[in-house]
Amino acid sequence: MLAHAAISRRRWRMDVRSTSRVEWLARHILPHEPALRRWLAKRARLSVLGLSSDDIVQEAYAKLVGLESVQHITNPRGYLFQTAHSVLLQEIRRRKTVPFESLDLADALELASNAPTVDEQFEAREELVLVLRTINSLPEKCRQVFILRKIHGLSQREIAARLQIAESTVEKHLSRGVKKLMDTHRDGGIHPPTASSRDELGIPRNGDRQGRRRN
Amino acid sequence: MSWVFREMGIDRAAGEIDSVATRWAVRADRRLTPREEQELRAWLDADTRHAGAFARARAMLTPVSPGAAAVVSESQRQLPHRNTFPRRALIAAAVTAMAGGFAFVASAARKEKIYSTATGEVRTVPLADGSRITLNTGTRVDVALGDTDRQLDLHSGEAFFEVAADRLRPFIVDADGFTAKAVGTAFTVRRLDARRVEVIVYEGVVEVTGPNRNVATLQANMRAELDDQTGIRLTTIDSEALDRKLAWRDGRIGFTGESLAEAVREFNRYNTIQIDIAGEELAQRTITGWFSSRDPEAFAQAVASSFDAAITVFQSRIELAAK
Repeated sequence: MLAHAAISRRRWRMDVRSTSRVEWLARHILPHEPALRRWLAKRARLSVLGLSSDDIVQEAYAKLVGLESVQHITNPRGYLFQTAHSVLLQEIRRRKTVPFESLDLADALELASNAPTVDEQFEAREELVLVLRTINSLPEKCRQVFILRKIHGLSQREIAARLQIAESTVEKHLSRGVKKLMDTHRDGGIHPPTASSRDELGIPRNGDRQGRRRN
Repeated sequence: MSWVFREMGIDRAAGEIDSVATRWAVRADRRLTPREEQELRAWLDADTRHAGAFARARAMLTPVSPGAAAVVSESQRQLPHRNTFPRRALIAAAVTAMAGGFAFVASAARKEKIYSTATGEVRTVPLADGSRITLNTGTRVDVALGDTDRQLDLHSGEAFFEVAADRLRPFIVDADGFTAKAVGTAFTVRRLDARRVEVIVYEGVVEVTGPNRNVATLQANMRAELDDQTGIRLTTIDSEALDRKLAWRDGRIGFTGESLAEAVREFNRYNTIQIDIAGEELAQRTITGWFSSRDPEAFAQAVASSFDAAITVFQSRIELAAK
């Protein structure tokens, strides 16, 4: 219990004081999350352990954010799969009776993590597509706010000033955008995006958006 | 942490964690009160998954870096001249207008500068904000650099915009009421006819506003056609085609299977010496290859010899006819 508390505290420091780990996750892990989810979804036997992909993903992020350093990680994708693998093993070991198929699954995941370098560029691109798909599916006001944040990198205060809305409104819209982006990542793990059609990117067909005014 | 609890409602539990994590991530992104900090700490300590979900939510809130967008597009193509720019994040936009004389709404509040080129002329002009515009043949662009945005109006012709990043002043190119707004690192636009605009993104992310104020966001290697009839149509475009679209800056024109009629129309944009084609069958033959945009005669000669056509050179025009 003591050890657990100590770990949590360290994780807390990582989380809140330093944004660099979060940025590392955003740049190097997030793009590979859909691939991991796709991989997990293909192997539905996770359910024999009473687990969902979400559980594995959340636990994996927890491990990654708790690391002392990430400098030694040269292959983030492999590392993510490896981490997911250790989460799974940890869970299997916790069980008194282990369903036979789950061992199989853990082995397969280890194999996947050792796969030769996958196309990092492709997945970075895929990540951008997921972001755009999300942006295009948001209601107009929310969309404006989310673009200013996710694409322009404005702070919440700057967004509030720019759009002349309350900061609490910005907060609300951002939460909605992030939640939607999470959903897109969850779905993206099942239906990989292809940036080719209007429907893929969620472009509305009719004039059902309120556009912004032209100067 | 409770795995037993999870077995009772797996997905629901994970989804709820995500919702709470999202709220915390957004709050932590502005500033937490000491009380909130305490609450957050308690929540994080309650379950290992909470810390994971919180980190993930914060990653989701992290802006797409211009660098990342650039890396993505570098694998697709090298933007010409990019190294000559002082700032890392450049936005490249090319806007073409074939029909001229559009209504122009002047903004009295700010200073406007007008840049133009004559037929056959290509010129590069630096802007005060560090951006550059390369104007193609027969082009006029009005530029208004304001405190809150950078507004450009394309009256006619075609231009390539290389835009210095400035997140507080969006870069907006207006073509006949349709707009292309640089919201990431790099992009291009093209106007085909009156009320028909083509937008091509070379790098990064661009937001376009089409008919009925419909909005779409595009990324590198994507093309949007904005049209009153069809709305916004999106397609992907390969790197080779992207290169061809910018070849005019080097005084070249590239074709891959365009009809002779289309190719000639393109040539005629650049030259006072106009090419005419006599014969529908000849006009429908297809052309592939690179040509100098300012040497219509060489192009006509190449066409004549490959299609076995007759060529007649007049003072101000060249006629191609089936033999």
